[in-house]
Amino acid sequence: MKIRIRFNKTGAMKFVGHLDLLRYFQKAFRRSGFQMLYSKGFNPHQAMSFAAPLAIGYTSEAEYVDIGLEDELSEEEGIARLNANMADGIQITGWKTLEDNSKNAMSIVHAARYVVTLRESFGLNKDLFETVHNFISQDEILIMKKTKSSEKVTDIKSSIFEIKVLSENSLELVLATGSVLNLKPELVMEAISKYLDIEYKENTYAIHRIDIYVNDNDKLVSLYDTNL
Amino acid sequence: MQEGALLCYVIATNVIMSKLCLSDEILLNVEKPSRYIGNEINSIMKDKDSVEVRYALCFPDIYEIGMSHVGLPILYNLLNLREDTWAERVYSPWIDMSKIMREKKIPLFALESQEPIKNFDFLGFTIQYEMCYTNILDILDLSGIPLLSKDRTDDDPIVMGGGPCVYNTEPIADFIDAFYIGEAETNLDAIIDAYKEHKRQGKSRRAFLEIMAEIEGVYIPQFYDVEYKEDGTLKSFTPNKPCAKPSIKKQVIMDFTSAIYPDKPIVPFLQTVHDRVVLELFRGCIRGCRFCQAGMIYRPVREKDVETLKEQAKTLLKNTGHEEISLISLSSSDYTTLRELTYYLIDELGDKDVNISLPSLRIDAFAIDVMQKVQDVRKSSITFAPEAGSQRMRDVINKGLSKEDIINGANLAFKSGWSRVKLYFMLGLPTETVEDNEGIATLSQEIVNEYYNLPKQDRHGRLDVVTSTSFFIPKPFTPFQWFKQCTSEEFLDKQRVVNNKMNKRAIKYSWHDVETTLLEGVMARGDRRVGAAILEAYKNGCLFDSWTEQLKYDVWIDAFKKCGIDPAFYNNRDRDLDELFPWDFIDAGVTKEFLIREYNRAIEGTVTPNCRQACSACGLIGLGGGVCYEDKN
Repeated sequence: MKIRIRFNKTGAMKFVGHLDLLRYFQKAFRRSGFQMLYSKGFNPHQAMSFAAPLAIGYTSEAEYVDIGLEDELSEEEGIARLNANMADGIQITGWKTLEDNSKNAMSIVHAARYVVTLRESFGLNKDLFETVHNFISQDEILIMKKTKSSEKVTDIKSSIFEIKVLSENSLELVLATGSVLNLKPELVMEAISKYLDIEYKENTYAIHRIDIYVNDNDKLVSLYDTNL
Repeated sequence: MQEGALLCYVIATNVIMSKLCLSDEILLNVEKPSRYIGNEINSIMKDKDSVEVRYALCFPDIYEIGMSHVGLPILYNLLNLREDTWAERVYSPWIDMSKIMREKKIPLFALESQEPIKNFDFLGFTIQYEMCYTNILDILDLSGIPLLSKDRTDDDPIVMGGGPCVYNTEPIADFIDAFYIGEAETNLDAIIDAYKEHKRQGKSRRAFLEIMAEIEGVYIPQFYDVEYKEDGTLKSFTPNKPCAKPSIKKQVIMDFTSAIYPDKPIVPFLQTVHDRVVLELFRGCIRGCRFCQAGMIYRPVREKDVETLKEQAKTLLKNTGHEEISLISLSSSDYTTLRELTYYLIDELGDKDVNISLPSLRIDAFAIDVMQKVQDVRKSSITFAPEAGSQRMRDVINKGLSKEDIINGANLAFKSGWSRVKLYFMLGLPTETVEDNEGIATLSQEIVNEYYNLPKQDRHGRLDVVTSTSFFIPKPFTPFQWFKQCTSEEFLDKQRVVNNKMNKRAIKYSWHDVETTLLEGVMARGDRRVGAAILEAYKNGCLFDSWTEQLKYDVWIDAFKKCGIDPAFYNNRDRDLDELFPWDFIDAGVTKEFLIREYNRAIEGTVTPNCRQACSACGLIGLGGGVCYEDKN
């Protein structure tokens, strides 16, 4: 059976990177006694697919991993067995059986929602409400996007689906996520720094992911609720 | 008002739950921050107010290396089984982190509680290789503990040391308050019990060291005086306190099958060097290779019962979720029920996609069969450690491996699908000649020839032979402890001989670093005077000396000069059989008579049978167990 698992990642666990998290879950499934389905091929490995990697330092309340199981497990038992084997800072919050022919999470991810909290060291020198209003009202928001092979100037405005100020030092972002369009929140913060004409420094803000969405008839639907 | 107070309370609890010593800003600015967060599966949290003794266990290297070590989890488990004690871990912060900690004056902390080491009752180092000595000093320094034992006060933890390097404690004798010689399973509890009693009475640190000195296996350096002769050799080594024993007896756990074993080892988040379950088949080694310190100091061989191992394998895999299990020992082919155990594990675990690894296996028909079942033949290589290139030289070092064994093993492996071979040799062994060096190239070539002599359809893949040489360093408690180590020039000459003779079209030749070898030699057989140079080198920036790219050789040489230490005195001098050694006060089980017998047989080139063929009266039979009594039950 195909299962979508939802979990949160908080506290010290935010320092565990994506590849280590993958190994962590492989071992957690074994400790939980799950009969995992294995991929076929040269090097069989557990069939498992994360929706969207979470960068080191980010926290989240809704991360997703799809897995294949040989045995039938109820939601209650699946969650209970896994939670008995989790480290402090990761908790399983959802267990959803998927249709056998459903697409895996990674291929349908469209957007993600984040809350960004600025630390003092960010050096905010103007009112955040006003800043964000003016920032997003620009015709284009240009930023240098670096990839492994190249650097190019990109307009990120169309990848910012929503931007909302929550308090004098925090804002909420909904950003394009996935294989087609992908915008990392730190790029938005870099663009805001540039707009404010202050020096951009990494890690001067905390990022918390709220949820990950698919595009269902032009509506954002949580990966947990979608039937795609 | 009330609502506000409630909110504060909730936030405060959250903070306590996930409290880390270091801020996000620090952790996000260093390599691999999860080295410093603890919180791993099976790590042990206790309420610090409910324990009486807090013990920081330290492997003085980075987390990924320290977490791969087999010994520390045993101590962690032993200590944490006690309700009155909380043992935690600490490793060397990498250079990026230690720099920040110094700038911001953050004291080094233990991973579990994230609290400063300085507040602990004990700080215990496991000392696995000589080149970690400056790292020990760095741990002390970052913790705010005085580097020299004599400068410590009642506010400092008791600093202990154990592991293979404590078979010559003296170079680090000034830095460690108490050494524990041998296996912790026997007397670690006695030390904790004594400490609790002492703490209740509120006596001084020095008073406790006196109590400790009476516990078997414990050596307190400051209770011994050392005198030197005019020629620089040791004149006397004598206790200066009634509590100090003239001889310290190595501790051995005789019943290895029922020894307490950690059944829930910690599962790191980071990919460590060895990310797997480890099964210890036996301790000790029957072989008696004359260069090998481990083969001498871990005697006698004590096997763990095969049924116990089967159970432990299942438990450990279940409790960790690891995908790999490794059967370890000094020479796994010598485990008497290896076949039964291996085939059981293959049958039991094969369908669970658990990999089985068997290092230290002699390549024969059984090994090939097992390796074909458990490894990907295309990807893996087979390893031979002939150690010496000629039969004469292999007889001198008592390596009971003939050319036929090696060639036949290679032939079998080639026919079974392997095409990658690794060969390990040493250079600079006692009595070694140019012919012995050339033999390394010749033997490597014979393996190449064996491959090409096979009919084409029997060869698989492209042949890949890698020959590596390291430089021989004589170690205490081996029959070679009296021999001189080669000078760097001599080593390089030998390396050149091998290199010139080696057919490099067919064989890759790689070698060890000669500078590290010189330093390691001084540490291996150094005396108490060497400590000053270690301190000097550390103060001038030496750290992570075992990491080739970090080694500051010139700084070390300057430190030796400044402290009046001549490396040649320690390394390049043949010793008389009656010279008093800095480690002679340790009773490691093997007697000096046995070592001298083996020294003479080495010079004659006479092979000594292994423990299962005949007893060579090494001195361990008195312990009343292990291989010495295998046939007598």
